[in-house]
Amino acid sequence: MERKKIKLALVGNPNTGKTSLFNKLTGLHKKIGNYPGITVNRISGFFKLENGNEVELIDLPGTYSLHPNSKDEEVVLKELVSNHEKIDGILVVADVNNLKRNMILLTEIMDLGYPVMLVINMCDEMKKKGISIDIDKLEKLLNIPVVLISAKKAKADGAKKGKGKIYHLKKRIPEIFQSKPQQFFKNYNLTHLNLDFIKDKFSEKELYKKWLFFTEQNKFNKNILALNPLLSELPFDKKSIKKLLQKEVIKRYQDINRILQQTYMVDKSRATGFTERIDRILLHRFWGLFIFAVIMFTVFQSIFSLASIPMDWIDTQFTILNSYLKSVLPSGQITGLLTDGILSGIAGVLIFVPQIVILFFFIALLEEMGYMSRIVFLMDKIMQPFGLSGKSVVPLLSGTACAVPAIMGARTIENSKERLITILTTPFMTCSARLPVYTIIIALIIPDIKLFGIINLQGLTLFFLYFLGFAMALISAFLLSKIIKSNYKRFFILEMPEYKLPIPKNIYITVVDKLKAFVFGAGKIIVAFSIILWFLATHGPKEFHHPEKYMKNFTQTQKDITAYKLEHSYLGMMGKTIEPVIRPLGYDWKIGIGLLTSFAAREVFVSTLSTIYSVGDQDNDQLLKDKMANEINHFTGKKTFTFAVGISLLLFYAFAMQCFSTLATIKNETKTWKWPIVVFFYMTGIAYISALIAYQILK
Amino acid sequence: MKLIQLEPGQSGVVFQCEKNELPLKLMEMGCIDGEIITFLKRAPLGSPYYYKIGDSHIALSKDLAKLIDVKPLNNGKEKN
Repeated sequence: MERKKIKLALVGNPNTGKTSLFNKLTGLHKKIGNYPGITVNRISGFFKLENGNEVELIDLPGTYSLHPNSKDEEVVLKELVSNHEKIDGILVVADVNNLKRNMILLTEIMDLGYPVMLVINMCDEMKKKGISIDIDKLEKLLNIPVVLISAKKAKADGAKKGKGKIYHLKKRIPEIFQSKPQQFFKNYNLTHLNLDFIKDKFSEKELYKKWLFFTEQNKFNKNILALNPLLSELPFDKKSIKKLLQKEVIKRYQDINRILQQTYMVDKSRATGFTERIDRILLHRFWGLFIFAVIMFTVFQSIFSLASIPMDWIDTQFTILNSYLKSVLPSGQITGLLTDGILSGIAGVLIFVPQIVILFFFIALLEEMGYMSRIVFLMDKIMQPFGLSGKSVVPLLSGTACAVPAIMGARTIENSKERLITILTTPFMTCSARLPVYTIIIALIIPDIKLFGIINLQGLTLFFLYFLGFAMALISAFLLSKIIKSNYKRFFILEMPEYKLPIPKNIYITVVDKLKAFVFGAGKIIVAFSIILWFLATHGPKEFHHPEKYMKNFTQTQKDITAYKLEHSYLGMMGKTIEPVIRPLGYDWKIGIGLLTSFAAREVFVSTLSTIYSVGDQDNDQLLKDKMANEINHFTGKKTFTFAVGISLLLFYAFAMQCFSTLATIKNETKTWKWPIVVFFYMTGIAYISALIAYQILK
Repeated sequence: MKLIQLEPGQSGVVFQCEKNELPLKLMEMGCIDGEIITFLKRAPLGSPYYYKIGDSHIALSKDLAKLIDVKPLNNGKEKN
């Protein structure tokens, strides 16, 4: 038999175990791409059928129907109606506990005319819940193959041994091309309107595709009324279309009820109410919030403290490797590029790995168990006024450790507008890289005294900076929610899935996918930036190369030479060039260089100042502090780090976008340079203005 | 009686869903005439509201729960 390539789409309601099934069918052989123009992933994988045919399986976003409520759901409508991908058939996944509601989507898809298979998942729960299904009869009434599976229990190796439910599913796939799905829509007689005028796009038979094209015309950027002037005389405004769509849902439910009455039986006395009982505790007005706080605290502690152990290890290993390479390789450009450029860049990527692994372990775990929806339920009231999802709590909180994993964590937010706003505002949260900068400046300008004998003023200042970051994140979210347009009205209709035991393999796959996406996506950009920064800091015009010739002081030490070199590098020149711009903030070119090197990571500001002020020993904060305290601004002739400059710097670091790893991650998540550029100018603009105002008032 | 007026633990049967022009999504989620809805609980911060609609557990915002007409079935007052 000739081997063919078949393209199938996996479609289903959210929380039906669709992704578990996808993982079971395709293993790790998947491609993650992107639908053009939107931040929705296109995920596909491959598997082979017994007859040798190869199947490409596309995992379409979860949706409750073909009438979309978000950009993600719109993908399903567009793909299935226009079929640019040339999909041959569809596997519709349904949850056995919610079969009735799941069949709305099923009947819509059957009406599209695709070959269809109904895959009823979670059949392992049937006995416990007292559910029985007459599969033969259901197949007859729908005229499509129906299979029962349990993606949770099914073992992938069962498929290889020629038994098991996944094997059975694969075996029946060829059958879908032989059966003609039952049609529902054509009997509804919803409108006398003749939709034939859309016929240049669809064939005579594709009535339901025409109907969707007509009722969802704005999603296809088509004005049907303009297409046919005769229509404008008919009352086919939004409202009358909505009425027809409501009728359609009612008719579908009538059909579904009729089918299920003959095939689906539930013994109500067996209902356990398991989920409701757990919800009584987890959504309790006191205990619910308390448990939520404990969970969030655990997540935060883990990415803050636990992750620091492997992060320090990675840091040490790269330092050792770096100095080893420098000692064995001949000193020169190439060695410099290899060690301080490329190797530091790779270290800068890998340093994020522990935090990403830990954060996504928790996110995947909570998602798998069904708790993520409960977070939305608990937090929506607070987040919704700012245009954020209840789920935004997780990325925002994680952002206080590091914005990079936090931004990636926004992936769990279904609504793409809320997801985008979360991604764009998370960098305002006070990340751990800002702490060393805050610490040294606070120590410099805020006296170490206690207010009312108990509140440490330095600690209070630090707390206030955390608060500032959080407040600015919320204010920005509010503004963005007004600016970013969405075709979709926000209805709060949230499914609360049943609690489930997590599937370890699904968690593993999520973590691995995220890591790959980061290392090979954002990672490339981070390494590139690192090399550029290295070049700028270690190259310069002629003064740079022969410091001993140009330095007037003949008692120079190695530390002085390093400082001299940095000053005369391209980076140093850039620091001097931007001096006129940052002078109104109270900074000189030395601080300017510090601001620029902060792009590698904000804490680099401290070591840069150590280098510039020739402190040498970078770990000696006290020495640096004394040096900074006595530093004279060459322009004003007064001390550089006055109270006004200190406050101005604190505000600048609180708000400015100075982290190229974050920018690279935003680019990677939104798939466009537009958003990182917007974030850069927006945040740095706010930082500049607030630092300017603070300095001008306080000086 | 509107859905929002149900007591915790109390159930009602949906009616007049067409007349009330419920959002399409709500109807797709099973909120149609004849379906039984049970009010489970309110969120700790006041909203949203947590219901069992048919076989699904669904949380709704206050304004959506105000739209839906129900005929109450029992007295509720179950311990919540």
